[in-house]
Amino acid sequence: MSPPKGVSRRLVLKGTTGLALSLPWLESLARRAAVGAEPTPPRRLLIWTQPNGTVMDRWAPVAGPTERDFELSEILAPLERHKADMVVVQNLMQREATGHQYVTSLTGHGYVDLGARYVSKGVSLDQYVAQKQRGTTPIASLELGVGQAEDGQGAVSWAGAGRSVIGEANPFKVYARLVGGGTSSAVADQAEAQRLLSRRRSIIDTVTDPLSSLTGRLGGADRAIVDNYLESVRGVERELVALETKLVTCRVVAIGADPSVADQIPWWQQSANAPAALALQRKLAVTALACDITRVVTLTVAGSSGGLRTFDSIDGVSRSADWHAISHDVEKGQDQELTLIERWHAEQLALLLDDLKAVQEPSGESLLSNTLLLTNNEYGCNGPVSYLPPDPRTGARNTLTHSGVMMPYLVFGQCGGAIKTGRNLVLPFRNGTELERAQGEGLSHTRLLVSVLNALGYEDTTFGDPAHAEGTVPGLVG
Amino acid sequence: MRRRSAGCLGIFALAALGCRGNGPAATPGTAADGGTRDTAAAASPTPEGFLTDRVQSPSPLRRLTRAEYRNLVREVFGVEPPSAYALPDDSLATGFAGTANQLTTIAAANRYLDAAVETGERLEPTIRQLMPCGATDDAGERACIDGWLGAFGPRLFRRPMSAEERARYVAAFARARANAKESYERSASLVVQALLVAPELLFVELPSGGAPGSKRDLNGWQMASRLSLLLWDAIPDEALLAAAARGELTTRATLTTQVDRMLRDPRARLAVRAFFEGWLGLSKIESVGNDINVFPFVQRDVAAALADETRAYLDDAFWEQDDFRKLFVSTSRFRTPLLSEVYGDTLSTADGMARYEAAVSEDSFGLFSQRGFMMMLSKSEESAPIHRGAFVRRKLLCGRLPPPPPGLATPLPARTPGVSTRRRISEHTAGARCSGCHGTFNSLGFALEDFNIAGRFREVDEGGLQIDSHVTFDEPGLHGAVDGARGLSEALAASATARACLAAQLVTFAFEREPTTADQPWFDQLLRTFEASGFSMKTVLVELILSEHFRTRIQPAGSL
Repeated sequence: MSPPKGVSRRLVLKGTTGLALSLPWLESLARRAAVGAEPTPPRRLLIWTQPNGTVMDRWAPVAGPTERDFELSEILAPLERHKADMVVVQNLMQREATGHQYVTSLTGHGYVDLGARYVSKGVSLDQYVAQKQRGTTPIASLELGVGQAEDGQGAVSWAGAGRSVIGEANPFKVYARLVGGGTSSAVADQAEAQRLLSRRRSIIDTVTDPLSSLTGRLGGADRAIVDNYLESVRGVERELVALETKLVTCRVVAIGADPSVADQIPWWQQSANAPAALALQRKLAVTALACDITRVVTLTVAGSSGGLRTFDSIDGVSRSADWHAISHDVEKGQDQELTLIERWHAEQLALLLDDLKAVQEPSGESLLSNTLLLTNNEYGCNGPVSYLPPDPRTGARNTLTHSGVMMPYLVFGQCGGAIKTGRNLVLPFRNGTELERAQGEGLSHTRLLVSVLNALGYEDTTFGDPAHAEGTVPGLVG
Repeated sequence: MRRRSAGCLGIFALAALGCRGNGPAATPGTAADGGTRDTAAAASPTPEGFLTDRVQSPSPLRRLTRAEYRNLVREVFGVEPPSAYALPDDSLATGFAGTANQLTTIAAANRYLDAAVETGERLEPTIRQLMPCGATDDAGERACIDGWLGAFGPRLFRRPMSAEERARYVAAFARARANAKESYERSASLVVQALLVAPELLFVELPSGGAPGSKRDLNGWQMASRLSLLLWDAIPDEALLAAAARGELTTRATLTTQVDRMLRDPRARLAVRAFFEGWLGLSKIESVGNDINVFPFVQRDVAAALADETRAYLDDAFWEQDDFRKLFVSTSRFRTPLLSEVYGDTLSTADGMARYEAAVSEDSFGLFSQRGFMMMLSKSEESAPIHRGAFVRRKLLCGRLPPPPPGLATPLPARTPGVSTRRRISEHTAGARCSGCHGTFNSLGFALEDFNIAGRFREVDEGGLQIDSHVTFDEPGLHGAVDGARGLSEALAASATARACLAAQLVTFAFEREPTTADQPWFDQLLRTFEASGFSMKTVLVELILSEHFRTRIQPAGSL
């Protein structure tokens, strides 16, 4: 990883304690272990989402005689050191997807085009789990973004039909939220931090007065909107209270100050700083899970279609070329640049996994062993897939671009023993006909959503639109 | 603020299935479809199939946009507001700003809290100027705060603050003063901070309650708020609140007086600029200048000047020319010395941006002959007729183009010597499954081939072949023969579909929803007024405000 511009690497990694640890942001975890082990470590869900699909020929692992024999391909090669903790899930299909919509990926529901935005018809996996666990941890779910906040076409997380949950793309705000200080700049002394905290509480108490006259005068739909707002403001306070006790045993280490300049595009929103912002969000995600501040995290590396992201820092990728445009080059047979971008993201994912493994739980296991990390994408392919047969009707290979077929899913971690890793699951196509194979028409991706729920200990048998209910991914859990 | 592009349409083939252009069926003869009126004088001026039948959620409750929030802080507290980027995102896929249907997450609530804390701290050292108090005892100080809330409450909440509401903030002040032993300044700043996260301040109040689908009138305060947020991107001023208090905003005659006054205020110009920005995404012109690899010939200051030129030109068409047709064809030219240098003309005679007169010619006539605008509609390698055509179809004719269906997106073959861009695209999209959609916009792009990726007039294309920008439309909204970009501009200026599209964009801007088939009688009337006014866009905006739709609200159904 190249050092982030604007924030020096040392600044990012230096802990408040000044201890020269190799993983200083996790300094407190050893201490946490001493506090007393919980009987069963909690299971965590971490969902990593990328836009713009992949180059399937360079992504799909080469299958061996059994599901345990597989070779990682060019794009996934950086994950070689995590191969034993990985399950590759090939050939699933999002039935409702028509292109760039993140909307359907974690919901398994269809969406409504409201003109101003795409709106999900149902709850997403992460929010569903968060709702089931509400109150267990200070933060029910943590949604992280990178770069420009997702717009209405890009929301991955949905609290319910029509209710998008947009990720926080400013890592400094995330940090402030995790430490419960509520200020995005690092606060030097304890007394000042306390003063800020009590000020925030006073503000919240004033406006969330239950005797508020506003909501009483509103109709049902309007009241739901204002109640949601007030509930979120109260949620800030609930987090503050819950974090106070939590942070006694686990400390989130400072990430430095936001180098943004007022009224310019913020540092963390500039495309050139996306790698550095992603690195910060990665660390914050691990910290939040390690400290049990939350058990559900979504980390979305870019808005739908990449939000005009460029990759000037990756050798071999055209300067100033936008991710989405590069994804379309694959159709023209030029797949090298997207391969490099995809591979770079696999490297980032590998770093995230390193961190999850480095955290030791009170039980002595690694954090990864109690986590299910799922990689999600808005779609799969950007061009023809060489290992699929030609279309029997035309004799030519289908392009399969911008569709819900051939989703590139990876699952990492043992999730408390629910998942046996080190496997490559090559799933069958729908009924196995030649045409379905040519069209990449696979089993419904809602199977994976159900299997994830099962791995986390929920006994759901369906998720998303009942029309796509097909059960689970055979052989993934158990 | 960066806006999303009109679509992710690159070099795709589109399927006929699901592609709906709009406007009446083609009747060959004239370039524009304005002629259809002749055959059916009493017929609807709304082109057939133009209005969507998609259900729109009726004016959902929304929070202030970033711009509105920041203007409020500036106007009421007199301090520099937090950066727009520090506030929750407010961009909609329509291009316009808004927060309808967006959940307030805890992360967003945190942003509002941070913004409130920041503003209060900025204000604290000088807060006695805003909230003066001579009293030294507790009761006296509380009276000072209560008095201030009585005076400023109507601007903050855009309606009088009730005694109960005032008491809540006075109590917060008193608690800070007594329990926490805070200074007067710090306790007063808590009042400001709490107000800045109050739902009464952040949400735009509308009449609420009653059966879903039923209609309720906005009261005077709600009208004042809706008016100023639309026309100024800001909260009502004292005069507007006074008019609301006198009940003058609920009748057409007295409302007109206020609207006229508000339109003369400089803030109205900024709001109209926000409309053009949301509609056309002009800030992309500036980003072209930031992208030296894609457009190496454009310096950043030139791109900024070109963006300003287009904005000034649109302002002129809206305010001074007061004529929709002048968006496309006008004798107005806007130049700085730098812009005259760029265009190689001698128009500019003074420092700064000024309006000059110039004859309409094939290489200088309006929006489509502006360098910045045409660069914005180009791709890095070529003039991109498909991209340009789709922009015109979507944005200027309000056509509904679906994304390319799975499996049909096939790349444009590489350029071969002797084959023009136009021919290459035509042949590639000629198939039955492609032409259904491409037939509704390809020729719009071909007509614009007169201008290269730098927006420069040209005779030959990228491959050195003679440009053929003569096209014959048989597309919804436009038909007949036109010659080049200027011909297309004249056709758009005369197109009933383009006019309806402008009106529809203003409706979307004002009401946060598209006009639908249910709006047809009213929309028809709006278009008739538009025509009778000599195509005054200002008149459309005023008519929207005077309409029953602006004064009433249909109660939304369900939750969210």
